[in-house]
Amino acid sequence: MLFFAQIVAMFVTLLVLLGIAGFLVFAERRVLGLLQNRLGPNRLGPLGVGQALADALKLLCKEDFVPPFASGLLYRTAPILVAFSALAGFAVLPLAPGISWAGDWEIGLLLILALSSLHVYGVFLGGWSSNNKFALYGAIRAVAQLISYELPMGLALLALVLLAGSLALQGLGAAGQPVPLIVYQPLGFLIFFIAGIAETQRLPFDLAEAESELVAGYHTEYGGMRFGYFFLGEYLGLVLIAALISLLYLGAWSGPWLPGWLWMLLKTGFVIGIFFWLRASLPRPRYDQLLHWGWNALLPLAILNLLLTAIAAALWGTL
Amino acid sequence: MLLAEILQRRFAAHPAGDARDELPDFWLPESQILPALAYLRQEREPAMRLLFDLTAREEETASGSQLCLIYHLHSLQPGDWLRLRVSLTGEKAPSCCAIYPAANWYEREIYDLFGIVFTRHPDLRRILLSPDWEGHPLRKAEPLRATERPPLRFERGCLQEQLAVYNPEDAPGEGEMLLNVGPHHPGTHGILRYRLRLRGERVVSVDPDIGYHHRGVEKIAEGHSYHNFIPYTDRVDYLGGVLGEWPYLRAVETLADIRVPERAEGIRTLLAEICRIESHLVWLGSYGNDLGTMGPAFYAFRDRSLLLDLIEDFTGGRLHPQFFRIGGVAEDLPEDWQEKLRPVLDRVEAGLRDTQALSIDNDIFRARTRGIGQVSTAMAERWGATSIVLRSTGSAWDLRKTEPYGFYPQLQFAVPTASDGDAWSRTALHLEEIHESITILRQLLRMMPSGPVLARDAAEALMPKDRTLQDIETLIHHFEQMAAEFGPPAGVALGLGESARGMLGYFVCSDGGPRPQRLRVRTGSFPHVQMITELGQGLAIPDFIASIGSLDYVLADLDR
Repeated sequence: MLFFAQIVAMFVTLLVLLGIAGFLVFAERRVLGLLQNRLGPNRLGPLGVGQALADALKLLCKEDFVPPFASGLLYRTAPILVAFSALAGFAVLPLAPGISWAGDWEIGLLLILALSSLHVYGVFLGGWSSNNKFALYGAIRAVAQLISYELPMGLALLALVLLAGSLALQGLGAAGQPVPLIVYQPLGFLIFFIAGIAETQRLPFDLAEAESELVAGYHTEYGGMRFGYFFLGEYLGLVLIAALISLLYLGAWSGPWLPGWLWMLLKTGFVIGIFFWLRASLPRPRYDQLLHWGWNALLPLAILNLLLTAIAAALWGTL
Repeated sequence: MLLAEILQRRFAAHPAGDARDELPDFWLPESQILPALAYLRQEREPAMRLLFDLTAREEETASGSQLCLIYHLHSLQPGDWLRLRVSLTGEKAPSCCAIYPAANWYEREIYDLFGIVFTRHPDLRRILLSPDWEGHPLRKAEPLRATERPPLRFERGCLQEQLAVYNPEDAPGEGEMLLNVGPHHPGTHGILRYRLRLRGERVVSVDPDIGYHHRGVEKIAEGHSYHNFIPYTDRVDYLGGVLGEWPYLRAVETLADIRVPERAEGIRTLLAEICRIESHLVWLGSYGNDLGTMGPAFYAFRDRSLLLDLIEDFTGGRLHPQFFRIGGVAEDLPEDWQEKLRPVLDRVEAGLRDTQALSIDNDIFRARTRGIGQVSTAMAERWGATSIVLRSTGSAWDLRKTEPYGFYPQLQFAVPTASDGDAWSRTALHLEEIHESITILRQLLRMMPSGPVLARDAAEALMPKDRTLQDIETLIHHFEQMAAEFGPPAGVALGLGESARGMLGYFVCSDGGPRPQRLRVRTGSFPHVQMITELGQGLAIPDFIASIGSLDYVLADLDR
């Protein structure tokens, strides 16, 4: 009975997450509108919130189309892989102590890193199997970018793990009580934040899509709900990274007056807002500039950060 | 020795009698084209560095139709222009690509539209029309209206065959890849196809495939009276508004020898500068999009809409005011124009700070545009580039300053230049030119002359409608004008203007009839896009997009 209830609850979680992704698309358009001196979608429903539903409905109703020149199986698998890897990460994400499906799982952090690596497989296979030159360029860029930014990201997290002495997300969150870890890890926070944007492939790091150069990058040949999966993956990835940032660095569920889970949500929303803001104001660097930056600046800094943390931990002990 | 003497002695030229503008104008024998051009480009001081335009014309003579080529050369010294005309005996002419690389596309265009074959041309293909087009539409034998042609039909079976001509025979070499950027691509600013040969992500060669927007405006002109053609000039460069009307009217007014009243010149200058700012703002916004930032577009368009509202208020039109008339402008400005213009200028000026912060002051924007799309002065001259592209290479050449027209002689303004010739400089120049235009407009607020806005005494100038119901002379004259009964005296004239896209030239040939015998539109975008064949080489795709975007071309201006 409990098992059955859990299945239903997981299903509800899934639906909520899909709803959040849809809502975020709408929210981003409104926030961008606000930041760019225009309105954004404001017609359907109060504040235009019905737009999220209309968009989802439109994608669902589109023809299920596979281009004749694409390699069918991989073409069909890729978007699912992307959506899956983004969704599965939420299994280990705690909203507050105890509010999570597997928050105290010992390898929670590793699982999230592993899933984000799986994500790039989806992107790459999508671009590769489309058999389109623009998509291929997008796919190649996605892989190059992911490799160069996962290293500093992992190293930044390693320093954190060193401090907290835990790989479980719940434990890492608890380490940020009462003093948020950003206080101990300001550099690590910056590295993780930047690598996180690169990980979600959003402007200014959306080189795999780069619409002015590559039309739509790796998903040029995708339409309808298959494109919708990629979209879903992008926005869920955004939520996941924002939630991780607030969990790991911004003190997770700690905060006065309000319940912990609400604080966690508010912090996540705040970080997402910053992502929107960046998108509204920054141009896209060239891909080699981006890679240079990843390897020549971010990676040495991440190593330095790890070293300093290790020395500090040896001198003064961990948290 | 004077140029005229040299041309006459060495190259057996004789002066042309029917030029009604002040350009030195000579007929050359066919055999002397190449030697004369080589002399002018290489030996003459100052060298004729710019092949401003090359076009053809077909005249009906007693002995049948006669083709001639018309070269417009310029040395980039104030007022130093030269027009050379060559009567052809057949339908062949020597190609001057080796002397002026810019001639490549001009000759292809002439081949396409007139059927003149250029010998030793490196790549003589159709350029504006599709490769399977039959006939050469600017020939007089071709029907004026599309409806007089048989319908264009594709047989079902041969569609593949028809499309085969679009598949390049130049298959990519070893390790190379062919990439079509366009016709539908977000980075090309319109329907235009760049065929790139790539090695990795580096461009080996570029072959722009243009003509998707070709509307045959030069042929259309031959079917319209001089007045009726004015609205078409707005649409050649659809972002330029009245900037396109002005050079056309300068040509017609030169032909008809009309002196435009002072106030009309002031109003023309005023509207032209508003349109210039507006056009520059569109470019600043869309160039941001090329680099992946959405912000500048909205801030630039916010300010632009203020200007469009203003233009609507003054002229009744927004994008295409079609407000200039032969001999002046259609209406006087509204009485409170100064009160309306002043606050808009302040707001546009303040708004520019936002656009600037989001573009040239942004670090990523700098990294993307510094040293990218670098054009040298020699390269700009080689391809006939003008306007901001030329000025970004350090050459302070602006028609408004070097050969002032309209109300510009009375105005104080600077010609901003840069020395790097890169995309960043061109962006900065766009911003600086907006500031200069605002300065000009502020001066016009004080200095706008009074008086009539239309030269009412000239025969070709438009008769005022309000007087037609009062005296019979005006009524008859107005009727005859509207019914296209007469035109300016026979002759040719070149009208020039500094548009936002480059130097715009209208070369109008009149045979005394009510319609132009031949009308040639020389636009800025055409040479700029041709320059991409050289500029694009060796760039990576992102830089390629950043480079072509920085040239500020408009597709309708390119294809006409």
